[in-house]
Amino acid sequence: MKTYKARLILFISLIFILFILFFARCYYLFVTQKEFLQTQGDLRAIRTENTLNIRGSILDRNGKFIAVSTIVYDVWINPYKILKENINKQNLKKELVALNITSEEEFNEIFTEKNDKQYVYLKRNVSPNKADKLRALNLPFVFLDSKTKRYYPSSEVIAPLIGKTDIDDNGIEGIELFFNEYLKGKQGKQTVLKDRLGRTIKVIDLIQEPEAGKDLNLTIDLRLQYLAYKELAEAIEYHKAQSGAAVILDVTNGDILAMVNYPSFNPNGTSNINFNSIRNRTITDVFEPGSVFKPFSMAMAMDHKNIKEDDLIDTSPGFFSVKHKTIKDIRNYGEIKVKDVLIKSSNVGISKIISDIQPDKFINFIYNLGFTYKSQYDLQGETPGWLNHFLESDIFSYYTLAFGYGVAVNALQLTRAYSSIGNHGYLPDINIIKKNKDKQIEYKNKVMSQETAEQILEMLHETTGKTGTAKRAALPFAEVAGKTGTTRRIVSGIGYDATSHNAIFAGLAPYPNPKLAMVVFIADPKENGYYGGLVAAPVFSKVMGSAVRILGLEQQAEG
Amino acid sequence: MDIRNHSLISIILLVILIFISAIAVIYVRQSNRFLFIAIDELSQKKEELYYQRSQLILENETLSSLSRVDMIAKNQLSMIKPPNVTVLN
Repeated sequence: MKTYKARLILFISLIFILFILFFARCYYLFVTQKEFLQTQGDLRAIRTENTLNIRGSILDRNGKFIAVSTIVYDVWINPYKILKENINKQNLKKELVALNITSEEEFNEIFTEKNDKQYVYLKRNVSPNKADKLRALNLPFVFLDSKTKRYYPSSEVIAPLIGKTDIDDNGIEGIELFFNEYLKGKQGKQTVLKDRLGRTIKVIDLIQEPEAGKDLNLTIDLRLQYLAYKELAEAIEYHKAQSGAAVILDVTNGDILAMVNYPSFNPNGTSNINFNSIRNRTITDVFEPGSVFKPFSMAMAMDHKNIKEDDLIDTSPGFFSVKHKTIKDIRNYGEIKVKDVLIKSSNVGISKIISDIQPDKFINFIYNLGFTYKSQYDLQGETPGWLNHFLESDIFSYYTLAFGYGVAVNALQLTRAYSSIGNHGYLPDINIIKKNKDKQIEYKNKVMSQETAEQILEMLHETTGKTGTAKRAALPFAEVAGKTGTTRRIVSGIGYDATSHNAIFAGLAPYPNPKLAMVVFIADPKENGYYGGLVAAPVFSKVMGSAVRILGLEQQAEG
Repeated sequence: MDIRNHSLISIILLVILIFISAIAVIYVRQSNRFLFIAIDELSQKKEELYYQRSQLILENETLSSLSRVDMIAKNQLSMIKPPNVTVLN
C-alpha cells in the first residue's frame, strides 16, 4: 500500500514538474523571446506587395485607341524551396511543360545552375487564360504575378510620337514618357500574410491606396495620321530618300492633327529598336528651310516697308554679287512684281526686298514666329533649331537668310509659323492634349498684320497654280496655298553637298479660309527627282486631298 | 447561502460570456476568411473583365484599322478614289 502511495506521489510530482516545465517554456517563448520570434515569423510570412495598377489608355481626338494596357502574368518558381521541401520535380516539370510554360531543357537547367535561387522567372507575359489553368493546378512554389502590358494597335503609324513603355509599363519614350505620371496613376501597396508554400492567405493592411491611371485624349486624328504616314512612306521609298517627317496642324487652335515619321518602328515588338527609327523627327531633326522661308521674309518686308504686291522689282540679270559671293536665280526673271518673287521663288528678288530692313528687326521677327524655341512639350530630344547670328557687316549671310539659309528649324516650328499665315497673322499655341471644346481660344501672338497675312496667303495660292512652282500640290476639288523648298544638305567635312538635298513643302488648305497647315520634309531623295515641288508637294496634295474630304471642308473651298 | 448562490451565478454567467465571446471570435475569423475569399475572387473577376475589355478594344481597333480597311477596299472590293469630284452646295 505504501509502495502504491509513493508511486502516486511520484507520478503527481512528475506531472507537476512537467506542468512547471511547460509553463516555464511558455513563459520563455511568449514573454522572453516574444519579440525575436514574432519578428522572425513575420519575416517569413508577412510580405509587402504592390497592388495591380492599370495604366491609362491613350486615345485620339475621336476616341480611337492608340495605346491600351492589358493584364498578363509572369510565372516564377522557387527552386531552393522545391529542393528543400522535397517536392516531386518530375510532376512539376510534366505539368509546366504540358502548359507550355517552360521546356524540359530550361527546367533542368534551373535545377542544375540556379538551384540555390529563390526567384527564377519561368515565363513572362502569360495570358490570363493560361494563368487560370496554371492556378487551378495549385503547384507548390510556382507563383503568378499579375502586371500590365502595353499594346499599340496603330503600331508604326504613330510610334515615334507615342513612344513606348518598358517591361514594367513605365513610359520610356515620347508621350508615354512625358505624361508617365498622369497615365500611370499611383501604385498601391499592401501587407499580406503568406502560407508555407508562399500563397497569400490574408490581406493585413492597405499601406497605400492605389490611384488608377487616367486616360489621355490627344489632338491627333488617326485618320489623318494614317494618310500622312502612308503617303510619306510611299514617297520615301519611291525617291529612295533617307527619311522624312510631316506635321498637320489646325491653324485656328494649334491642335496637332498628325505628326508622322518615316522610318518608324513597331512598339509592340521586343526586338532592338535603333535610334534612327525611334526618334520623332518632326521635333528632333532641324533643317534649313530654304524657299519655304520666303513668305516670312516677304511678310516682314510688307509690314515694315511700304511695298505692295504689284510693285516692281528688278531681278535681272538673274544674279548679283555680294563681297565676292553670288546670289542667283535658276534663270533671269527680269523685272517682276513683288508677288511674283514668291510665285517664281526668286532668290535675287527676296534678297533685294529685305536689303534695306534692319537685320535686328528681321531676327526679332524670326524669334516671334517661334523659331529657335522649344514647344511647351519636351517630347524627348526636341531640338529648338538655330539662327546664324551674323555680324552686321556680313551682309551676304543676311541676304541668304531671306531665302531660308543660316536658320535651322524643325517641322513642327515651320508648320506653326505657316499657321499664322492662315490664321490672320496670329501664331497659335501648340496643343497635343485635346482641350474642352467650349473653351474660348485666346490669341496672344500677333506676328503679322491681317492684311499682310491675307496677301501672303493669296501669293501662296497662286504658287500652286498652273504656272507656279508648287503646281503638284494642287487638289482637284479644293484650293490650296503653299510653297516648295529645296535645300542642299550640310555634310560634315564637305559643307553644302551639291549631290544631297532636302525636299520641303509647306502649305495651307482649303484656300481662302485655311483650316489645316501641313509641312512635308523629305531628307536626301536619291531617285526620281529631288526638288521640293516634285518630291514633297505630291505628298501634301494626296494627304490634303483626303483630309479635306474627311473633315468635310470641300464646301468651304467652294464658297 | 445568498453569497454562494451569487458567486455561482456569476461564474456560470462568466463561463457563458466566455463561451459566447469564443464563438464570436470564431465567427469573425470565419467571416474574415469568407470575405477574403470573396475579395480574392472579385479581384480575379475584375482582372478577367479588364482583360476581356482590353482584348475587345484591341480586336475592335485591329479590325477597324485604316490600313485593313484600305487593303480590303482596294483588293477585295476593287474600290478606287473618285477621279473627278463635284461638290454640290
